[in-house]
Amino acid sequence: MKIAIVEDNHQTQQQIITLLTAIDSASQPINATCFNSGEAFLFEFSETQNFDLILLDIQLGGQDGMTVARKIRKSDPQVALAFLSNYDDYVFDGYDVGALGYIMKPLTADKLTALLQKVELQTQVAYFLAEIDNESIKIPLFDIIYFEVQNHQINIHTQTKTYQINAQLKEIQPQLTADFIQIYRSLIVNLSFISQLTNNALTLNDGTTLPVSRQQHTPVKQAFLAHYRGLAHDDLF
Amino acid sequence: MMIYSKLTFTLILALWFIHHYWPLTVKKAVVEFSVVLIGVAATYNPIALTIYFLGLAIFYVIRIFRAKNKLPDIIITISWLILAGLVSLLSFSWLSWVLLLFTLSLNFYELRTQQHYLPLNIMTLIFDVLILTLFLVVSPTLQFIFVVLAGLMTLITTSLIHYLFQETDMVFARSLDKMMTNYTQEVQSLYEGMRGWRHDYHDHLQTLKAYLDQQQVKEARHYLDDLEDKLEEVDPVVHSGNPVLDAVVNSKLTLAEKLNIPTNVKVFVGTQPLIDDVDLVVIIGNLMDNAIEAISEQATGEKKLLRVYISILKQQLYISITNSRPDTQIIDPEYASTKNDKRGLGIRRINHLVANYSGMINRQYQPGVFVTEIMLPLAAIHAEK
Repeated sequence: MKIAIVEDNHQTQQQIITLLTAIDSASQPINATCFNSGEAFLFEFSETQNFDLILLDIQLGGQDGMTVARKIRKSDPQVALAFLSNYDDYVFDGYDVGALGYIMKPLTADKLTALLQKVELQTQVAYFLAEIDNESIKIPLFDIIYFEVQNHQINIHTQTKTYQINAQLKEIQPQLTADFIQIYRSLIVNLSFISQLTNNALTLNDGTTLPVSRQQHTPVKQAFLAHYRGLAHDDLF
Repeated sequence: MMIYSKLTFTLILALWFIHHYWPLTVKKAVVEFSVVLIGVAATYNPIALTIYFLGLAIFYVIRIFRAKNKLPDIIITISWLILAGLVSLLSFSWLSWVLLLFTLSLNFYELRTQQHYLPLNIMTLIFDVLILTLFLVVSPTLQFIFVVLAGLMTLITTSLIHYLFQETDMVFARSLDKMMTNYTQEVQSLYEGMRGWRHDYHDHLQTLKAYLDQQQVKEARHYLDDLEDKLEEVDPVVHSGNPVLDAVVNSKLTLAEKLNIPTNVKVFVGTQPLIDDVDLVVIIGNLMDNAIEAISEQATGEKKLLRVYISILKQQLYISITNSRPDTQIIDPEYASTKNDKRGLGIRRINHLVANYSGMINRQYQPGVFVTEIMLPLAAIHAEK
């Protein structure tokens, strides 16, 4: 497993290397590279994109970890990302980079093993395959906010842009994970982006309001809660 | 005289309606307003009265489907239906008196089977008597007096209850302020302890250097072990990043520890501003108090557990408190709206605050376990500020 450690503190770098060396074995070979800044990493990353896991310190000199993560996601929506953070620099960003977790420093052998297991389980980011202008486009599911039927087409709203495809909601449903739920006749939403749920509507993180049908209200509420319950279960710190 | 009495009554009911249901949601307004309208119409005409009773019956039929404990509602529905039938069949005679007694006993039954607020129930009973007597009184003057009395009764009742609820909430708020002072003190002593450590830091380093200079590695190691042990002593269980949250969770955990309750705690929120400190203390303090109370009611031998999980997940402040509870405990889903004790008030406060922050609350229970989950959207909280 090829791991990049982006961390500006030399001591922490050494600590992580020591832990990784302890885990390193013939069955699970580990190859770790340290970078002192986000810039240094991004430079390297633009050349060779073959890391299996990127450990990002949130507080870096120069660009902070979250900014680096967004830049990584622009060119690679798939690589596994995890943040390292202190008590006082937990960043909550509206932009979802699909990180595997936030790990509280100090990093311990247990936390690291759990993280590596998670990487192995989820090396494959789920995609949505969209046919646009006779071209297949892969859109990572974690980037999709919601699907909306309009004029017999489906608008796929992602965090950065909107795609249009010719399909019916029924046809795309098998491609979606449990994170997606139908809230209205013409709408399927990613639970990760829901901010509030009221009696007949919901608000997304970016402030968009979408209607929720009466019979879907209870299932949506339960799914929303279950989604966060799930996140609570597998968070790593 | 007759027409004046009806007008007065209509006016008083309208006043009561505005006073009680302001501000309104549309659905509530429609439902309540139709009940009031039919009620008013009922004072004019026996047929309307029949419809009124039928309406009430339908209302209770709906409640049957929603309620957990169905029997009382079923009985009440049947009774209203019988009542509606009787009124339509009978012109008012001595049988009306029987009807009146029947309604009263029905109300008593409701009072005994459901946990309502007692003064409100008594007032309702008196109100029922007045309304039903209206149809028995022939003299317009007397009728006028009764109508005025009934109207005043409703106004006084609702005002009184409103006032009482507010008063108890005030008392509660004052005790909360006291609670807050305690937590502030706890935070302060925590920081004082930390400051003390910082102060000693220099001395510790000097000692260690001295040992190392003399190649006394064993001693240095021993000294470090010692320091580690001491650090654990000053170290409270929870470091969430938020001092107020730390204080309230830690103090409740200390309470749990005193009661020998096994705990499983994960609290981390970082330093970013969350909801108002007082609100945070009210929500977490009440939740944990209720949880600990339920656990301490368990019989010896029953498995005890308190699990606290508070974190920021994506854009939500997620709070989940799980507690074991006595196997015999019966949970009343309408506890918060009907009980005026500390627990009821606490639950009401929590519900109110969560709604204020456009959050969501979910209570779930199984035999032996109770879980409360709260989700507060940070986007909305930050937008507010």
